[in-house]
Amino acid sequence: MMLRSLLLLPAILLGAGAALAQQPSWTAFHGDLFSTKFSRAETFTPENVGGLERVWEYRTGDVSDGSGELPATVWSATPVYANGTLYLGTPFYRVLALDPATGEELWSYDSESALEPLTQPALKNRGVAYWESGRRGGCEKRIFLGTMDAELHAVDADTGERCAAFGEGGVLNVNQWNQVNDVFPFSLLQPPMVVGDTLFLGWAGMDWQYSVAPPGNILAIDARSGELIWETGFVPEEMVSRTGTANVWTAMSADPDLGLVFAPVSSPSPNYWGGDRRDPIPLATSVTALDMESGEVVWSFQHVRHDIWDYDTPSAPTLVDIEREGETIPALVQATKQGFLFVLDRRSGEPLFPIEERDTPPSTAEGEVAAPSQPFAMTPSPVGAPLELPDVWWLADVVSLGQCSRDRESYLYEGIFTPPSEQGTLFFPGTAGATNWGGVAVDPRSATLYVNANRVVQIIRLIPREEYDQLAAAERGNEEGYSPQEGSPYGIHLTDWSNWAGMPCWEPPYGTFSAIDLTTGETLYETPFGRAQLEGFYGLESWGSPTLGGPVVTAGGVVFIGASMDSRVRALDARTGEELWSDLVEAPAVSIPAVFTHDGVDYVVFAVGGNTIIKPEVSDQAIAYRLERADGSPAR
Amino acid sequence: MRILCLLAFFPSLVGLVLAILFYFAPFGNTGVDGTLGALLALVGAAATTSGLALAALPWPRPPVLAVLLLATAVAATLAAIAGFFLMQYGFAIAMAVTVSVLALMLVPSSRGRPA
Repeated sequence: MMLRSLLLLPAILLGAGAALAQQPSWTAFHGDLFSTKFSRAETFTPENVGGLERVWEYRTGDVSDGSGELPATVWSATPVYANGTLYLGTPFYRVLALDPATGEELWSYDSESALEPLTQPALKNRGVAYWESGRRGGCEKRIFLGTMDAELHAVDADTGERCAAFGEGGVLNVNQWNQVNDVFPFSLLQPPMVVGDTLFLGWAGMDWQYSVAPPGNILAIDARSGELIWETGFVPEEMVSRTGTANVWTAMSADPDLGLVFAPVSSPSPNYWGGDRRDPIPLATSVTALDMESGEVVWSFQHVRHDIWDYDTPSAPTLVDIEREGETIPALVQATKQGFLFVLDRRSGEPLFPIEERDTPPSTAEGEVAAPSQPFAMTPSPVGAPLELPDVWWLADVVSLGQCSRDRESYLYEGIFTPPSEQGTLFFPGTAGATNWGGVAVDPRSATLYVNANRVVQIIRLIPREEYDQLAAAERGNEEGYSPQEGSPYGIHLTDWSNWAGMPCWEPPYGTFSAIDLTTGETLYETPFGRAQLEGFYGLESWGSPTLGGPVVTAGGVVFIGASMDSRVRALDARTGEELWSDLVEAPAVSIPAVFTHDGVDYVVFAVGGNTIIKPEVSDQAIAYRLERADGSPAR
Repeated sequence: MRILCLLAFFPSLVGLVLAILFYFAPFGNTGVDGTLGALLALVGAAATTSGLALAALPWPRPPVLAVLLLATAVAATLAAIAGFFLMQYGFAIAMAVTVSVLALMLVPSSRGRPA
């Protein structure tokens, strides 16, 4: 117990103990180990945030729209503020250290990683991780950067020089632990979670490409040496010859006091047909708690059984204490692609609100047996209205001379969890989910949750192997929605449900922003959020926008969020969702902003990268905002 | 008639300049630069300005003039609508003013004899 306390001391100072720090910092992907995305910065209030000024802009130079030799970039990095410095990872797998007040580059590091789409159709990066030992000396403060080709680089946080004692000369080959079904490398697109002197690392793969793939696991790695401490897998041994993934590609959370790591585990491979994996995989598509020191599974909550919808657990669970009948319950909230918000006791995984077991439709696919029922979390209310397929949008139907209505009649839809089919299934919520990796923000003082949600309908069709192979011969690729699911009887085609002009066939809103009281489960408000944009034309405000990225809530009562199609970053009134401020940037800010205090001044910094699945525009902007006095000096 | 043409021409010219700016974005990102929608608005503004320039010339055949004015009004209207949905409200207002004057020009009593 004493040893554990000593080992966890840096974590208490850095991550979960943000409350103990003197200044609000932003040391992790979701701000802290609890993934609250809550900033204690108090300067920004609903009354003054309208005066936010752009104080500096930095161009990384690491951007591609995919039209040249390089794949497109998807820059979804959260800037990390630690050590008095702002750190950015880029989609060309470099690290940049900037002066937070001026945006001046202090140093840069290039991993010289091959810029190839090894496991993803684009070059993706969600940032870097920061570790410090608490001691003085070289490499006692480090930045960790992962690459597409399974390397974890460690550099000195003050100089950008490699930390030679880590791995081989500062580079750890994570693929050395990829020893089963190694058809693709462990792509490290999400920075590791740092707790004490341990890095907790997941990876991204290609669960749409193969049936048999590397089985998902988490690696616990020593932050100094790169040695493997433990490894925990999520696929039963007896099934690894038939399936794989069920990996952790997104961020994780941790509670050092409980000694638990919380892993959002994704779906098994292949994504959309499970005929070869009909035996239960209890840890797949779950939130699972692991003992921090041993990696043993302490509890697990599976929110989709026999997942054939790619309803990966897309974001880190957010840890929050909830008051109930005079008792403080250490809880967590797991947002899901289905739109359900599962609120669990994080000590045991027991639900704090009732969960209904509801019958779900059977599958018509060859060899498939869908789960007969699924858990439905109805309190809090699901976000994104996932239980009712939106009606056909009259405007898109008129423009397409009734194509949308004909689609509605010809494709299969029997409610949420309608399995993919050869006929074609209207897939709602789609694979991008009601919520995705941006997750939720929670104000721990009031246990109020904030979340942006999508309402996007897709069409998924299972294509028998022979027909798919003919299509493959015509050089269809993932970028056009075709995925082979090699080893299964079906490839798939997945596309948004839209008409010939690209207009969505379903009624708006396409995106919402909600606030929920986690103590009672009551939805405080839900409003359309953002504006959709197609070929330059904006939708009406009431239509909202699909979003990628997440919100940050501040102690002053403001929510900062990018995420929407219309390439605007916004400040909202946390009490009402009303927009208080916005700024036009170059591309959708598909990221989570960092909000922190540097030298007594509060800043909010967005990485503006874009994502070509939302809009063609991409960018390499990092933009900082702050409040200024009339004389131009920063407000404190 | 010529006076009305000039009254319509100037706001349409303003609209054309704005359309060039928001499509080509010489001073930085406009949110719609390079998009198909902005290009259509630019084409609409150019067609409007050109149509008004032609209408201002001595034009001996009123029926042809009426058709020209009607086509120009349609172009201006579509451009104004495009401007609204591009959130380029200055442009939309400029084109809306142009449409208003064109509407006056299309009233038969106002066409009378060229000034």
